[in-house]
Amino acid sequence: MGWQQKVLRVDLNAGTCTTEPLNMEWAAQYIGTRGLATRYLMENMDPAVDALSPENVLIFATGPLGGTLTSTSGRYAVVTKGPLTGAIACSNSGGKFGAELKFSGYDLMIVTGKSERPVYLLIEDDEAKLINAEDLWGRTVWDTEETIKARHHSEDMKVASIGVAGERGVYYACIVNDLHRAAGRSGVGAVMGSKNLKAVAARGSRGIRVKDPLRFMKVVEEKNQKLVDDPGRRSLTKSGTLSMMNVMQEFGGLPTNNFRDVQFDGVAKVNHKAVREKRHGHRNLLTNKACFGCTIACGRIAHIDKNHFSVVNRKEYWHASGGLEYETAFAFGPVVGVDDLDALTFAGYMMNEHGMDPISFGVTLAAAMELYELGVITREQTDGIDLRFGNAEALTVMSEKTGKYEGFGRELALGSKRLCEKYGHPELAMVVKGQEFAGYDSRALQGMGLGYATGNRGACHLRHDTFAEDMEDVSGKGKAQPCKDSQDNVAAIDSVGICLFTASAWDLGDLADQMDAACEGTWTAERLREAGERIWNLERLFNMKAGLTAADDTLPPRMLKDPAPTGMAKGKVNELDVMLPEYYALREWSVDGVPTRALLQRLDLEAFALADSA
Amino acid sequence: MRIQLDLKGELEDELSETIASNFTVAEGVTLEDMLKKLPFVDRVVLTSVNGTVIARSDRASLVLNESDKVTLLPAIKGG
Amino acid sequence: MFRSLHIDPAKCTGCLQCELACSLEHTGEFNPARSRIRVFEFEHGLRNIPYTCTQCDEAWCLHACPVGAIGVDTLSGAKDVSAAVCVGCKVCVGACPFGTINFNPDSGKVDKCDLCGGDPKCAEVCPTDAIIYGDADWSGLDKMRQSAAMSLMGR
Repeated sequence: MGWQQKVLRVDLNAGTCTTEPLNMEWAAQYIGTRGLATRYLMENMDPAVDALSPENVLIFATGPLGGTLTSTSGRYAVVTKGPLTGAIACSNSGGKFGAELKFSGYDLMIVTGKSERPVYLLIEDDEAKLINAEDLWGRTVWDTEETIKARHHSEDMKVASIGVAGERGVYYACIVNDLHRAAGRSGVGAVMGSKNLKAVAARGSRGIRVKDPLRFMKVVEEKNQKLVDDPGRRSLTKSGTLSMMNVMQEFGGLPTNNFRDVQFDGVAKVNHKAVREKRHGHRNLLTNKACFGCTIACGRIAHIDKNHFSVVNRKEYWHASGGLEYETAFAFGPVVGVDDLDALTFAGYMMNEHGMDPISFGVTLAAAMELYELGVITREQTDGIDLRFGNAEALTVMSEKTGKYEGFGRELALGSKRLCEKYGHPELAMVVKGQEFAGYDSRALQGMGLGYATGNRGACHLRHDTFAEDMEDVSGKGKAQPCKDSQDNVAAIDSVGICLFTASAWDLGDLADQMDAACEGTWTAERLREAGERIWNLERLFNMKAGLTAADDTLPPRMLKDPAPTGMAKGKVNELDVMLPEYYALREWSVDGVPTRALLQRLDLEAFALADSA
Repeated sequence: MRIQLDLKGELEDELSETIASNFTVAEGVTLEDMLKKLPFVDRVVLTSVNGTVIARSDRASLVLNESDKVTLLPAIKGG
Repeated sequence: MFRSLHIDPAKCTGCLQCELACSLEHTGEFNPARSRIRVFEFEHGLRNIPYTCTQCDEAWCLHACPVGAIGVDTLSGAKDVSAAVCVGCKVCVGACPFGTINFNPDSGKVDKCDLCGGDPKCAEVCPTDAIIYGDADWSGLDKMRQSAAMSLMGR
């Protein structure tokens, strides 16, 4: 119940698709999506292999509450080794694809090897087959999705695919489903491209059963009401995540000009009010849009002013599509100094059409702009584009060039870390473990810094939640505990197969009630929390087997040495040296960040102990 | 007397801009007194008056003055 | 009072909670492919339109059925398929001008909206009131009110 109890195994070397029963012991311990896929990944690959080699394994996974009436039940996760980071990658996406994958009868899909020629995978209920995709290679996500649906005469089909960025190994290429939802981070799209797998198309009619339908519906009704009444939820429905822009500006945590500054002069032109204002007869935001099963509907549908320089005479971009949320707005706005709303929206279209992570792209462009300012990169190299902070044209042109892997876009395709190393300024890369920062400065938000530094997939704002503690007090004090606790909680939330934004109203108890009515066994908040802790530690062990060490749990020098110039944290740097030892101790890790044997025993992870586990 | 309430993020939905920027309180009211009157006080994490952050412990002793700008920030969540 | 489903696509976010609730009610499983109400997405997600049987008074499906499997539920007014009588010939599928009656390969019978016997689950779960179950006699009332308001503006 809950789970479909079936796994699809796709061997691209042999060109075969086979099924096997889901390991229910693992499901009981790792739940689904993020956790369960990590357990399967550990079993199926050596973490030390090259992320872009055929030996890397790519897993698409849904969760036990996925595809049910639990709000936001459409999530799926892509788990693999990330080329951007060399660490475990776990990218989560909404839309409708994840639920459809589950309705086609599978909890998990494990892709191994590499196809000799480009292929796409078609899953129609229990039938799965690989189909030649040589004619789709080189085409955009939007084109691919439309073509596959038309070819199989099915508008109901849901497609997850890569664009040229994924094919050509852009280090932060993502997998896009349903036109504008993405498994965005760590370069999971490049892994798909390295396997010559262009797309996965699913259509299913295998229903999902729950343990006690009557109780389940009663619980769901009660929990949905809780979401309805929650002010955080209301704000997400009305303004999406974009309302945070003003909060971060006021607080002084809004990364600007490659994180040199923490407040952005142009904020009023790119915030949640700007998208609603009519300018030159054009209003950016059109409506909001829900992912599968979601009663929040934070997604934005927007359009670009036809007269804007980015699309004038380009009718193909006059239609509505996915609009700005906070992270995309930060990554195309403040961090590159651009305040042209239509340019930001255009860059967002490019990310979706060509399949790239907006956060990593924006922060990489910001690093390139700083290198350009220093004179390390010159206009000859940038295809004649003036790559200064604030130039909207630099944003629109480079987002397209990178997506199509052309000109200077090939340099930006490297990501901040590799780009800055190549040009002799590694200190300018705002990354942890090679992955770019999200839209929160870690001098202002100290716990966020700890979360970035210890994030198993590198810098990420969606692996912990210390916002309240961070805003109460700008110091390293008292941040380790909430960071650790929320990391475990988030791992559990991700793994049941729903969206993190429900956490605005729901705690683990609310999830446990729904799990308990839907799935075998007894589910409590404590059981979920423990599973979350187990998952966090298994991800850590994957990384250590991949060669990462405590030395990778750090922040760029700009965060540790350069004081914040303005805002609440004026004069302060991130106090990672205070937080990290406290965090390791709370985690029951050694001073070198290695999980202790006692901890591994408690979490039933002894089998994965490292040689130096004390 | 009139003060200016400057609400950020999701708190912006709680009061119209016109009401917030012409908010009236009695003479001698402290920041804490004023906050208690707001139905969304539980969600206020950070307060500042005329750009200076007021610690939680100082809210009860800070007396508001005519045309003070009181900025209120909510705790935020991911995204 | 006869009631009917009123659908306002402008309020629909495309969340598909209606499809989930419908399939659970009729199959005991969450299975949108078996839902009798469907939400169609257009223009990159800009428009989401829920659509289901309008319960025609002189129902094409009812008249077309060669075995008399389709009757009228006296309480809700819904045109209802009797699974025991239906032979799965699909003549009704061809007869319906709107495509809202469909063959279900799992059961070998046809499925259509039966208004859940007078308590439609789609309307119950819809988070934005895009689907409501209201007075059938006045299904045009809101539109009429809008038209009235427009005629006032013209003055």
